[in-house]
Amino acid sequence: MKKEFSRHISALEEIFTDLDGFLSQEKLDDRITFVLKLVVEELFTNLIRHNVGGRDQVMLDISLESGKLKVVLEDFEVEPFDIASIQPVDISSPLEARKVGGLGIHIVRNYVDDLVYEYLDGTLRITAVMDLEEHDVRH
Amino acid sequence: MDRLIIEEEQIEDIMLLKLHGLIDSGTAQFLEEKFNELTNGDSVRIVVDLQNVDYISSAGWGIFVGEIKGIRQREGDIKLASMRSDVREVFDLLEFNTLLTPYASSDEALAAFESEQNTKTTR
Repeated sequence: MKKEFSRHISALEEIFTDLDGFLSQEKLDDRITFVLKLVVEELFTNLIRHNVGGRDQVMLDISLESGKLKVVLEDFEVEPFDIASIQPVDISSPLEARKVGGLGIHIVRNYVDDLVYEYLDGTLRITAVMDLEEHDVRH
Repeated sequence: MDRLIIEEEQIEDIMLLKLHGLIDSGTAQFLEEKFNELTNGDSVRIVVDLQNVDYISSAGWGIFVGEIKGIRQREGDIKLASMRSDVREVFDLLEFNTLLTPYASSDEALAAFESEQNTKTTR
């Protein structure tokens, strides 16, 4: 599945619909559907929130090969920002000190085996890989 | 088709919200608006039934954490009930069990409110 989507939260509904189609085609189960949607949403919303500049469209490419599910998000004409550099949220802090931000990347890091950031000539690429055979995506 | 539907049921001074669908970055604002509407109307004892919610992203969890602070300052609470296993896994991953007590059912959550009220009354 490779497709461009609007660089806006409202695109999420269309993304999820397309993910459902991909997951059904690949005969992946509900568990993987849940995790893949989480990972894609968290990466997509972080990208929209943090990247400066950017075209109206971002590219989402999802593939399954040799038991590895690969999610690639590309944002064009943006300034460098390393999503993997976001400091982990302190999830053990008490309610008074809890921050809402940072939860998404904490979720992503828990479910993916590799999270790679690349930046070249204005294009930011985030690649997340989940090994379905080794981990059953449960960590 | 609506991606998140919120049913309301008033049970004495407790508001039971039965949610259907998913809570993601696109629908979280709808939930936030519902909480704001309730708290503006002085409804601060809230049970959220998640039996028919199969997906909550960080945007959704952020709403619960954001709302609970103000609600507890007003001696209210949000009690989450009937979480599905995938949803519960993320709840545990974020260690929200240290902030919010999960309940197996709405009835249990409602009973917990009642029990707390009785404790206060008998003090």
